[in-house]
Amino acid sequence: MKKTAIVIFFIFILIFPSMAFCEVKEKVLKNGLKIIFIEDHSSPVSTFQVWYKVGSMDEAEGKSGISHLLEHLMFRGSRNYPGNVFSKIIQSQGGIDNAFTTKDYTVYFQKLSPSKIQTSISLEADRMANLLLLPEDFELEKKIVLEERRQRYDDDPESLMFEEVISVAFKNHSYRKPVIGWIEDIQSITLDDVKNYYNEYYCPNNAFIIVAGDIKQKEVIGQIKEKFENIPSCKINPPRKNLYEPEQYGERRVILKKQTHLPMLVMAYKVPAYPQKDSLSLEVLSTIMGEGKSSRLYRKLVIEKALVVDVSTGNSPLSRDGFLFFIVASLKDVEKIDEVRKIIEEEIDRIKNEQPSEKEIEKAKNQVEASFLFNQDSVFGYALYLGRFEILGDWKMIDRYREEIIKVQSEDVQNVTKKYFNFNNLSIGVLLPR
Amino acid sequence: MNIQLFFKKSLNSCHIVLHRKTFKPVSFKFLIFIVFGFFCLFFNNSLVGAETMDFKTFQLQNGTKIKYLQRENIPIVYVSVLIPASVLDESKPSVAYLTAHMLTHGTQRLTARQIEEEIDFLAISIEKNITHDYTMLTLSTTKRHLNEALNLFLDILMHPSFPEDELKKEISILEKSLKQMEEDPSFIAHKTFLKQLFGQHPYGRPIEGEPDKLKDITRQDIVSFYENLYKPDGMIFSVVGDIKEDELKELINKPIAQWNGNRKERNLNPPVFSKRTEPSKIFIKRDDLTQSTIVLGFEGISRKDPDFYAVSVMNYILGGGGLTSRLAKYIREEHGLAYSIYSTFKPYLLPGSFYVEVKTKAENTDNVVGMIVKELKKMRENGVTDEELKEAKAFLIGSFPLRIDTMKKISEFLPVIEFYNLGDDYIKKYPEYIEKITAKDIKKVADRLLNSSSYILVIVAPSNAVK
Repeated sequence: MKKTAIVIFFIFILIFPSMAFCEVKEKVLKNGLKIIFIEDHSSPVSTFQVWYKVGSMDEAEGKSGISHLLEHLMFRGSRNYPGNVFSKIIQSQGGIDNAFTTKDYTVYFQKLSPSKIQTSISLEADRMANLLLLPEDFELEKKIVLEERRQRYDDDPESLMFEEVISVAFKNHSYRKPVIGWIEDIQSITLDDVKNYYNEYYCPNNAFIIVAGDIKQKEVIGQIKEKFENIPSCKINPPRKNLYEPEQYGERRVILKKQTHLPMLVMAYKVPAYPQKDSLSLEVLSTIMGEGKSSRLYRKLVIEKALVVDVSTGNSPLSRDGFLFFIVASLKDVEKIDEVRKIIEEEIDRIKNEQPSEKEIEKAKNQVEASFLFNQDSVFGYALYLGRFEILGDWKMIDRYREEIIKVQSEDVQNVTKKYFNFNNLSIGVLLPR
Repeated sequence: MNIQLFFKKSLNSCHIVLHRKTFKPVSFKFLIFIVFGFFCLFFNNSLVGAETMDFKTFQLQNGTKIKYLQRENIPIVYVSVLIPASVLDESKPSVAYLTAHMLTHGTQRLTARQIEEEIDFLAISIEKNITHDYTMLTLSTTKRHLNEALNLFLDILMHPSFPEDELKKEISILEKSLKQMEEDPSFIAHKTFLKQLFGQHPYGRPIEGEPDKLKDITRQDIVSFYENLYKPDGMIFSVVGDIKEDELKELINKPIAQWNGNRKERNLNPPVFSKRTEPSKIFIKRDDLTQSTIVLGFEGISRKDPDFYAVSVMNYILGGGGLTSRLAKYIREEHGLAYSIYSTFKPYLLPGSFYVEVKTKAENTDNVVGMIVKELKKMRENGVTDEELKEAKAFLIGSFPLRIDTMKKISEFLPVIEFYNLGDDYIKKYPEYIEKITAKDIKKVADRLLNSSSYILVIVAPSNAVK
């Protein structure tokens, strides 16, 4: 057994150093704006992404949803492109555009022909510097965001369940608030709030650009410099809250009754984020416990006991701060919730008592390798992946991440299970049919 | 819900996947970019500049076609296979779906557990996509595990054993999942709309089937479906990635060439649409909801219809073009009445549907329905402006390469070109097809399709939504 492990280790040493298949470079402009270039000439397409290091975790009390509301307003016109024209201009150049907000960051992007990249550069630079933020647009986008909230949360019991579990798992940390915001907060946000937020956080020194695909760094750098370098950086660094989460005493639980057919059980344990090493062992644990049909929980609950329709686990190590390790099961029968929970906890205890096998560790590492490779099939997806490391401090951390995750041993997996999977670190959500 | 969906920031949110709910820890500017016809094909897939798409086609003695494109930049390989078998060929609902899903539940050589173990250990994936016209499987593997992955993939395709106990488990899971899907207002609205439009025709039911009909399914139904339709003579493979031509011949062409058998002829009966002289309105009460889900639609066209390209352009302008479409501009951008609104059409082998879907706060329901009908009428009466036409064409042609910008998308796209007889030069020709559409053509198809006086309207909403 030991021998296999060594052989496997060498295979990975050989494979991993050569796992990035396109050239990545960076350049920082005078105003602090970093540009990351990914050259990949396999398809005649490119993507232009502007990342702002601000997400719902930076929002003040009573202003939840302001990051996302601002994201919507970024499409309502800027000084040189007034009116609702951004998407129209991009689409008439054969491109597509969109944006998304997370708890940690906000991204605007276009996918378009490399010959049209100048359009992205001009539009993004103008809305970084000169957003209009008109009162009538503000009122309309508020209405649209409220419809979005109804559609994606209020009328969707499973999403609502996650929102509730996250909000009880944290009693102080702003991760407890949903990205889209609470209804009352969205309603009470003023246009001045949004203007201040834009001025504080949408600065070149709080952003970076990723330009990727069939581009030549030498050609685009000049165009980017011309449009972006004169945007003044913010005099003071964007405000960052001192976030912490006090110790948890006892298990927390939320029970939601809604119109649904399958009861759902969500178990969430607070865990650290990368670059803390435990986050990597937790990634490996997640693969062993609940990713794929050969994982321990799937085998036990779906195949052997036939108590659930699906069970899975998930961890999100690339967060700005520690978040949650989820175990989620969709049950066949309301009466069996306690039994399912008991089996899940028995499986957790099994790892606490006995290290996972070498084969399971190898499986997890094969999956890490494969996901790195498949990720690069889409230059857009790869750019998004790299950006998440830049949010943590530096995109180059991706190499260290790879090196460190292949060094995770069964013992590490056992240790993190003991450390984090405890009654005093657990929040449970139960969704019941009404 | 699967937690992986929770984390997966699937940016290409595609509205045709009716039952797949994704919880995103992120919030998007808008949920859809562009929805235009041809299922997800035109959405996720598209065309790389012809010069880089020099794929080869092999035709084997047994009738199998294999499309091949070598790409060496990343050590991964995708293998897709399109099987002309779908709801159109079913003796009972769910059979096409279950047959495809049961392939990985046992072969003559391996048990279901061994297959699952191998898939996870090799870190490969075998995706199953069942559409109204065909079934497609896609294998994704690293170059390092290519041999083992191909052995497994061909084994599940050629030698499935369909164990009785595994089928029972799969049916039980499907039944529960279907009942869960039926709680989803979009799913139920679409299901009701399709039923009303297509009646008893197979296009009129969800691909997954009906929960209360599952008890009738026997192992023999699955075995017969497989024996009749999963035959090499109708299959179209595509292989894209880091694999050399001699490897392809040895590892793929050779084993497939040894597989023989002829499929049963497909019995393709076009749907018979019943005439309506006034709108047909169906209201489904759901007092637990805050919004109304509205589906308003009518008869569409088939993929081989000569009006296909004109309808593509017209639909883009009407409601397919993301936030810039007329419907999105009017209802969302100018009035703030919805987050998601779009129109789409489903050009199948046989005539499909054309519909608009929107979700709005319950009290706005009548108002929004009126606004949709107004836009349909406007399109019929006045057609489109030159500027709209120009922009739509620029988008459809210019965004073509984005639709096949990954090896996986190419792998899933090549068999579809073949299946619908679009021609190997389709990629090159597409701009031409779009470019020649005139405002007059659009007026003509708007008049032909947009049934603003006797549409089918399905509303899933709380009681206060309609007066």
